[in-house]
Amino acid sequence: MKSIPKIERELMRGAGPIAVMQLLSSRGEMYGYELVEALEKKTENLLAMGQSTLYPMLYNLEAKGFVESEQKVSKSGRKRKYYRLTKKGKNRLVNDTAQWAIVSRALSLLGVEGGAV
Amino acid sequence: MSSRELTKKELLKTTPLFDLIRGRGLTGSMAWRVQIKASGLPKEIQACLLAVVKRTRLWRVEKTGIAVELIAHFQDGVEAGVSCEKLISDFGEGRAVAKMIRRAKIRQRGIVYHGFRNLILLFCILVFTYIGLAYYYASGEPRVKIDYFAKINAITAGVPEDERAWPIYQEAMVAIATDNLNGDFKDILEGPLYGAKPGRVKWDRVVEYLKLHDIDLNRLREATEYEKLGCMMYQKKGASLKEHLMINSFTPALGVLRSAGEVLATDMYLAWDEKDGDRVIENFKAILNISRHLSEHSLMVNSDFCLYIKDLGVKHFSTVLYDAPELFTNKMLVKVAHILAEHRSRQLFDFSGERRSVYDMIQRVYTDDGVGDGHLSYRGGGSLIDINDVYHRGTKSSFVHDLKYEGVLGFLLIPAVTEYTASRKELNRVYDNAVDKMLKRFDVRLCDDSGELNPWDELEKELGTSIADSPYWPLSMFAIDINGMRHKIERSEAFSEGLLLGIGFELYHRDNRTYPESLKPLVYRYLPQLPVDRMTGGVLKYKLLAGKPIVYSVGGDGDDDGGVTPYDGCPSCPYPDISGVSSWPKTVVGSGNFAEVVNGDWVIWPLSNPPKLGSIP
Repeated sequence: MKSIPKIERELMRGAGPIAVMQLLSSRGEMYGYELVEALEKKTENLLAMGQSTLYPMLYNLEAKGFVESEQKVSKSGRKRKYYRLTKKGKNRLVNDTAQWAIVSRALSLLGVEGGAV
Repeated sequence: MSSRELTKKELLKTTPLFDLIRGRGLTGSMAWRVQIKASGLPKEIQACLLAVVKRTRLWRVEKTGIAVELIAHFQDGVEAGVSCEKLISDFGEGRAVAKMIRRAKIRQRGIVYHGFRNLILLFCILVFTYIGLAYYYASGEPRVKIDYFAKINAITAGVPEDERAWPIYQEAMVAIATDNLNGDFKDILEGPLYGAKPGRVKWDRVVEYLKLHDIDLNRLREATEYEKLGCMMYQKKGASLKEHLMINSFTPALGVLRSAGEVLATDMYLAWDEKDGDRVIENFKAILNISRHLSEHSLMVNSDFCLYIKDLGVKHFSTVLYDAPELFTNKMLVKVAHILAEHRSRQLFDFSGERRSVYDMIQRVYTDDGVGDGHLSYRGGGSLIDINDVYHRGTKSSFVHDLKYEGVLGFLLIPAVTEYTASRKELNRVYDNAVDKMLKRFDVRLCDDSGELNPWDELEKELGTSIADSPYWPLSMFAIDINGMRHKIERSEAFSEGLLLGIGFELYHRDNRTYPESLKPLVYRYLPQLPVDRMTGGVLKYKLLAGKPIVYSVGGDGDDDGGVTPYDGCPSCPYPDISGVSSWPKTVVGSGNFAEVVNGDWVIWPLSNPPKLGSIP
């Protein structure tokens, strides 16, 4: 299997928030480490991002009002911060997903290999 | 995995009371360092977390939130069996992570914080800009390019040394004013000598002193016969800017010649006492010559002194003539009339030197950009502020009154004062404009004056404040009201006309044993022409009061009050002071004792003790 290079930083800046919001949309609420693991597994490590990127990204999404957080104590007694999409975040996800699909289609029409989603 | 033992101090930091002291609620969870240390995570991870959270430089509550979240993150990782090295490696480079977290967290802060931060930022920018401006303005230095002193001294410099009156004046006045003969005459030198009259306090002592200085008085009269004064204006080497700006102090002749005029006026009375009419006239002529000498420098302050000294001579001679006409033969009186004709008050006024002195002030306090503009310099502004106190002593006359260019506060004042003060070009423009307007109106007779505001008043009206509080405040110290001088000249000319009329009356009386019924009979035989009422341009009022003639103008109010001057309770000020009149003749708004006095006439003969309003039934 041909190794696929990690996604460039600029592309990740656009794709990362959509990926995180998509995960939160499907799973309801998640905490940081859970998101890291999910991104690795669900994207076959393609969108695996260092925590150095994930946490600031979550704070940014929170600052923009796309996600909200709540600190809870887990069954194991560990304090965790859980994130979930807000209504504004859900709208944004719909919008971003549509735009991403347009970009993918455009690239595909141009013959960019693997451009289709 | 277990938490390590916490010290008592660390435990104390996690208490609600400790949080309360910090004003952060009663959670007992604000000690993020303690929480990391108590997390049970391996030391390498703890070190990584401590470094990252510390480097975020966020508020404690934010750091605590991040610490709690990251502790959970790493605990999950350790629990999942991931090695410490991999967890730290996946987490990323500490410094970069801290930076990104900081940015994101700051973005999360509320609008109040961001508004306040922007305000602080704006304030800092303004402060730095202001300090930068202060350095810029403080570093600008004036350049003295034109030697205005040389121009003002041009006439004097051309007078040969042996034709100069000034050295003789100095010699005579040093002998008169400082030789107090072993201290015996200290009492009269401190006042009575200048302007004494028979019957006044210490007159005998004054007479004694004058007789002892007979030779010096002759020397003084000899000096007045010289064509030119020849007194150079000068400034000592190394003079400070402040000393340079006080240009009036470079005219040493002012004080000396004023005293000389007053001593000769005193000697005029002594000559009267001694029935020496020739000496009375000699002194009269000498006083008028002193007045002419002082006009050599063409500064306004000199013109002011010129008029003062000339009026002194005219008024005192008039007094002698009124009370002791027998001292003078007809020939002597005609001689006096000729002397008067040679000394016109208008000729004593020349504004060129004054203008140069203001230009000199401007070049010494303003920077020069080479094309006629510049800003007020630090040293220049400071010196102006200093001398403002000297020029307006004891009064709050200008917005700079309480300022001082000293210390840090003084440094911080520089941009504000400089920015507020008009530029060099603007100051020059305003000054020239006002002076040109005033000079244009200078020869308009009082009676033809439309009563329009003088240019300084016009400017103040336009500015809505006084010049001293406006951006043109430096002019308030140097720009002189030429209008006031114009009125003083009119008054002085009227005094001279009064004396000429008095001579005419005396000559008429000698020929006819009576005074004329009107002024007309005086013309041709006793006077070349009749003077007019300077207020109205019409005929002067004339009447006989107690058998003696009285001639008067209707005065500022335009009403004939019967030949009485405004009564103000000031016996030594028999004439309305019109020097401060800004609109004439409609309103008298003069300064000093006669401010706002509008009623009464302006008596020009007799000049001594004319009747006053309220003083006669």
